[in-house]
Amino acid sequence: MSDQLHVSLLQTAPRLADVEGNAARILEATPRLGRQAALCVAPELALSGYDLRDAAPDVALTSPQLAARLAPGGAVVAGFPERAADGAVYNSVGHVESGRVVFVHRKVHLPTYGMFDEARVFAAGADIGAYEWNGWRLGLLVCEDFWHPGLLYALCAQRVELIIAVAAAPGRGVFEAEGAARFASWETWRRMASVYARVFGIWIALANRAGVEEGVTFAGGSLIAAPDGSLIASAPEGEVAVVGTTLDRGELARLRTPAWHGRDDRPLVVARALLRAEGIE
Amino acid sequence: MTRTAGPPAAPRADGRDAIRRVARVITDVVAAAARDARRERLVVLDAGTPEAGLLVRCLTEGGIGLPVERIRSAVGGPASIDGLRARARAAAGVDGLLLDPVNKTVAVLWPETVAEPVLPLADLYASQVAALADGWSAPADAFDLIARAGGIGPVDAFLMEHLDRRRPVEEALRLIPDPDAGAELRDRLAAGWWWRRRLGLVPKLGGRTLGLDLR
Repeated sequence: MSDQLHVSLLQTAPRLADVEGNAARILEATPRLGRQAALCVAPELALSGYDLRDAAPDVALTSPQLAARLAPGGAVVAGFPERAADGAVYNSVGHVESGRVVFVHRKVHLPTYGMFDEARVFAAGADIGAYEWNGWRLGLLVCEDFWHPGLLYALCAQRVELIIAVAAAPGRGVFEAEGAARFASWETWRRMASVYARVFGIWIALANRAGVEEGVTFAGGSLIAAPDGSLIASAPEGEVAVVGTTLDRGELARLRTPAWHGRDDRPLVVARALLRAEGIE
Repeated sequence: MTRTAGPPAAPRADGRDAIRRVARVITDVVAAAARDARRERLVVLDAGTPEAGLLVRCLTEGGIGLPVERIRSAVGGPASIDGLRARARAAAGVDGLLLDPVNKTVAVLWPETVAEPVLPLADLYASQVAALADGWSAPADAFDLIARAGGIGPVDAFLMEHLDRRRPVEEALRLIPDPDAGAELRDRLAAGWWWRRRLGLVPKLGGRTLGLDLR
């Protein structure tokens, strides 16, 4: 157990359906920090690229296969197309460490609006859970999951300290962007991360991919937000990059000052209301 | 044949930064397309339009790293777009990637005039092109309708209201002062649907991109 955790965000640019090459790129980007409590985070579908369509079953991995491929990288969280025992393919994020599977989250919310058609390719996850690793309480999300605050709330009700979200978010609003930003659309993600971190009193690590697939440029801009809502690490937009910072649990109480709303939260009140909304008394 | 026009009274982006951002995205997408299509050089269909100049500038500033050849219309003579296309396709051959710098206004309303595999500027409306390049272009026979609709400003405002802000067509058409011109725009929009589904690769710059979000 360690009160300090170094988190590195690997803002890679995966090549479509090139699992071996993408795994190699993740391992190349992994910083050699020489610390025990270090965690590297690679984006959504970092092993395969995004727009897989009917190639998804061909490149999908079981979670042990993911762990084996990333074993030299130490502790890594990475998005991958996960082949389940029944043959279904999920858009998943796996936490692996030295060849061992620590935890897997299957994307719950598969977007089907605008340019997205994920439900055609992937099965939807049906659970959201927290887990312990190295003394830290963690939760994982995949891209669209981050737009559904109920999932973050559910993780925070399970007392997570750090939510790791992996994404393959396209850049939009190139004409309208201002200042140093390349994509007006990324500002919304940045604000969400900051607000979630502040409201829930947790760290948020958001790893978004870079690179191009067909006409889509992915926005990059990976970031880490602290429990006071401040951004403590951020990568450039649209470029391959690695950024990282050390989280110190000893700072948690101070960062949650003056009010830790999560402490006073009452999940059962919400749970009862949700059951009523679903017609279940 | 194409015609060009000066900038409309449209909001200007902060030109330098906007060109830098647009150039980066376009360059990355075109470079990836050339790599994936295994092409070693780029051929720009250059009818002497502001769009062609903007595209070449974007590729240059973006550091494309591939030879860029411009196939130009005859100097001083009327640009025959069909003849130019034939020359450009011949010039592209088997190792070149042909780029048509058409703007989004034309790609949406006159898609039957667009036929090349990569349309690098087709997510920028004509008035956005004008803000970056001091002019815009459209097929010559489109100008009459654009003029009767109040100019490129109202036409683009109508398209943005409908396509990007998802206002129903009839509501968005309130931005077009002439009802007959509005009806023609509505008909063009409807008639272009089949063609728009078959357009080439468009780099995503905005919220609803042809071929990606908007088919």
